[in-house]
Amino acid sequence: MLHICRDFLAKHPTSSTVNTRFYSLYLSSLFVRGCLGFTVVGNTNFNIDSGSITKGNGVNNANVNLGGTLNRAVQVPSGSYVVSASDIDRILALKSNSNSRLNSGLFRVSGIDSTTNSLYVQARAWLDPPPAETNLSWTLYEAEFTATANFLNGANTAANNHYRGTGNATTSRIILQSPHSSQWQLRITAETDNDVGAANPGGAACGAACSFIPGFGGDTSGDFPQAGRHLHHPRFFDVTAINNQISRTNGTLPGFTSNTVDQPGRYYMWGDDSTGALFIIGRQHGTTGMQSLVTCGLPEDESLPLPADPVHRLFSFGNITPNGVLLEVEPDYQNISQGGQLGVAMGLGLQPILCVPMTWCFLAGNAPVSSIMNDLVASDSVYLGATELYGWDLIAGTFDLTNNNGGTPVVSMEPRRLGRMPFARKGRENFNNFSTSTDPGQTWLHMTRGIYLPWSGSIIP
Amino acid sequence: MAGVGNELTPKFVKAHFINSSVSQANALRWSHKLIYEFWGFCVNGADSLTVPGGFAPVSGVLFPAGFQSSSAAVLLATGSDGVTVAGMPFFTAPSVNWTSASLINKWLVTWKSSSLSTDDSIYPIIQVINSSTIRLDVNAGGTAYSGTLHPSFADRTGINFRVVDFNAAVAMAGYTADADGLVLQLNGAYLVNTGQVAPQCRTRIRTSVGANLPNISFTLSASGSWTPASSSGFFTDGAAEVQPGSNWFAGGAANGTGYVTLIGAQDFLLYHLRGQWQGGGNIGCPMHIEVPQRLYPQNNDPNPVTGMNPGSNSVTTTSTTLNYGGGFSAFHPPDGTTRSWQSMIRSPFGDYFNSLPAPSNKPDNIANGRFNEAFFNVFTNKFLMFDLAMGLPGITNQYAAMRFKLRRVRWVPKLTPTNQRFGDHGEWVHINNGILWPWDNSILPYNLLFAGP
Repeated sequence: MLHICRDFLAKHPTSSTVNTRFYSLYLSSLFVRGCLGFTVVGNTNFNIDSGSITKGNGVNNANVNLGGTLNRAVQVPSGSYVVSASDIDRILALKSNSNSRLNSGLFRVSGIDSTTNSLYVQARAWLDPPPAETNLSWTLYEAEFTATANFLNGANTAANNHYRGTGNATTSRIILQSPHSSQWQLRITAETDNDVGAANPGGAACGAACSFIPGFGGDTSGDFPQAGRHLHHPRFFDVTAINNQISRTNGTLPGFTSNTVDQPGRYYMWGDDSTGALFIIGRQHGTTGMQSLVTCGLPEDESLPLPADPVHRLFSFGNITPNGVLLEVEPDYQNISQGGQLGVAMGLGLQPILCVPMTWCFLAGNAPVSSIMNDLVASDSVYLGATELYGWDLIAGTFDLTNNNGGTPVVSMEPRRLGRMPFARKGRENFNNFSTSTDPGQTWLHMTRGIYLPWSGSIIP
Repeated sequence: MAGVGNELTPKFVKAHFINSSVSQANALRWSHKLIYEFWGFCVNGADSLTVPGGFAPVSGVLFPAGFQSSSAAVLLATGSDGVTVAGMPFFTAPSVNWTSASLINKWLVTWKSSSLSTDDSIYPIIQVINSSTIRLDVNAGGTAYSGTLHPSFADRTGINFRVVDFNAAVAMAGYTADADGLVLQLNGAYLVNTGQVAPQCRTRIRTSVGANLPNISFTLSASGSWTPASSSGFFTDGAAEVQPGSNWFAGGAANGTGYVTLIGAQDFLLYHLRGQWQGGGNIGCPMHIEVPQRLYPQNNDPNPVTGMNPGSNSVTTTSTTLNYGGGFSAFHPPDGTTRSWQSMIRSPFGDYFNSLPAPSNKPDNIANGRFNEAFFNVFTNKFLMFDLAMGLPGITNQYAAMRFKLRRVRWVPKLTPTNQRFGDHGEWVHINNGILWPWDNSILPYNLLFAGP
């Protein structure tokens, strides 16, 4: 079942800037843990299930919209948790059984009602009022500005041409196991500046500051094994560049590009509680530094026959540069200093390779930003009276380099269609940004640059 | 309604040799006689030896009397007792005395009703063995023989056949300038798209237009509305005639020989002509007609049919208005016009064709080199192939991002050699410039487009 977190606004009560690298790690983890049912495999400096972060939870026993003044409240059983003023600003993760596009997601607690043991939540992510529903699963988490105050970002003691975010590194990271029968795991990591910084000297430019990497074999410290069954290139090869030189691991970590200090943003998340597939967008709320998208897990419409080893079914795609700019799906042989995107997958030769979403392009020739979805007179289809949407197929193994600094081939090529990118569809780019489709149910949301995602009802523009 | 099972099975006439020096106009008449026999009997034939299938019910064959079956000079013999043996190039039919006249360099048209066999084709007769048996050049059709994959016959009996003299057909009197042609009916359409009616394609040999260089034009009728009035018939659904993108004959000989290849089933027809009438270089004439895969709901687009007719242009992908790049025409109901649609493929490099593997952002420019591996997986032993989908950009208020997909063509980078077979069972063959056409997995001893693409 698809669950949507509809526009969660991160914040800090006393500062206009925050550690967005930590925020992205924290909020994404709350969604996959609290809304999709992932379980914890291991972590370092991010014990999501500890009492300091998880304040209360329950399975199928919360009620949404009690009517009257409680129409935007969530009632939890007092036998499980007693609400208090301390809950204000905390984050309530809901997993709905029957309104998963509306009542699932992360919600900011704005107040309490002790009489009914209910939590008022901010209405920004809801229809007003939300559908009344009983028996939701819920988890109450500590606020992001409190929880991430204890996060760390220290590198390990290895030399700088090795991966620095594993072993005795203190940097906060977590591995969660998906509910899918394959039990694939997701490592979300606040990568170290040694590994992902673009500075010269000092950075290895491996990709996103908060990376999302699927795989298997995670340990209790939140690490995948070197050369194991996972898509984390720097960890797999234990190689990074020195001073942003060309390396096989440049730009191979998709995720949130968030620098350490920036204004907090708005988070939109989509996830499947069966496959564990994810699509997360961070939208700027003041400055564009945190803007990113990342999608990972198992594709839709996978190519058949399925590979015998499920690691060959996994992918991750998203932003790879230190600073996001545009919300787009436009992969390329990226120069690390540009607004780059790239994906990763596991080759049949049992080493990680690259992966990109394929856009329909003109056979006669197609320059950047000039597909039929960029047509200047694009409109609703004259046949359908609606905007046409098509999926992005994910193909692995067609890139042999990760940036265009000299075009040096450094990654194996072995082309193979994995499946279709989960949830997202490609449509005309001149549709209004951050607008819903015009059908009565408003079933699609156009973010920007022709990225459409499932929706239901209105949004805050 | 299910079909009998053979409607969508491609059949082939491979490198048919126009073996007499004929005029440009007669090259087109010869081609039409070949299409008539192939489409009417090999692809659409029942058990009648003289009444073809697959044409508009009335006035679907717009040629002079004698073109079809009434001339003993054109149709030399018929029968239904043909026998072939697997692996052999011989054809036995006791009902005909094959020594009664010289049949060498004439052609045998063979088919069985509802047959799935690619043996249904048109073969040159190259030797008389005895009174009941002849030897055919089985490379023109046949079935890929187990092991060698060379074209051979299969075990069959009760084969229908017609013995045809194409040279005599084009030498007949009575051809009519700017009128002769065929009204092909694509009866397999309903098996491609639910509820689709059989569309029609009216071909027309034009001999007195422009510089008086003979051409072929065609008109596609989505609703199959050919209104019979002999050659002056018309379609009632507003479809416009599609003129060739360039002349079929330019810079070549007034008279000459050449080669024709046909591939077709009841939902499509591919045609290629290359001969001495065209000048140097790869400037053969391809033509492609098919019922594409509908992508819109049936109510929004009930009867799509499309075709391409670039003239003497070879098989190319680089033009936005011609050939496989952008030359497919289809009736566009929203404004009642016939429009050209642009081809699209998925880019394996993301949202465009990256300039490193594809200089100038053209996939046609992908050349041999390090990016070969981007299209061939050494672990799965598979080559990437790409579907072609069709959209209508650039016209205000007529925008359609993706109306249909072509079913009878695929694209690969042209770094692979022509005549390379593709697919798990050799179901595609590289024609030219990365364009793949349907194939039967056979290995020919010569190039399919024998005189060049």
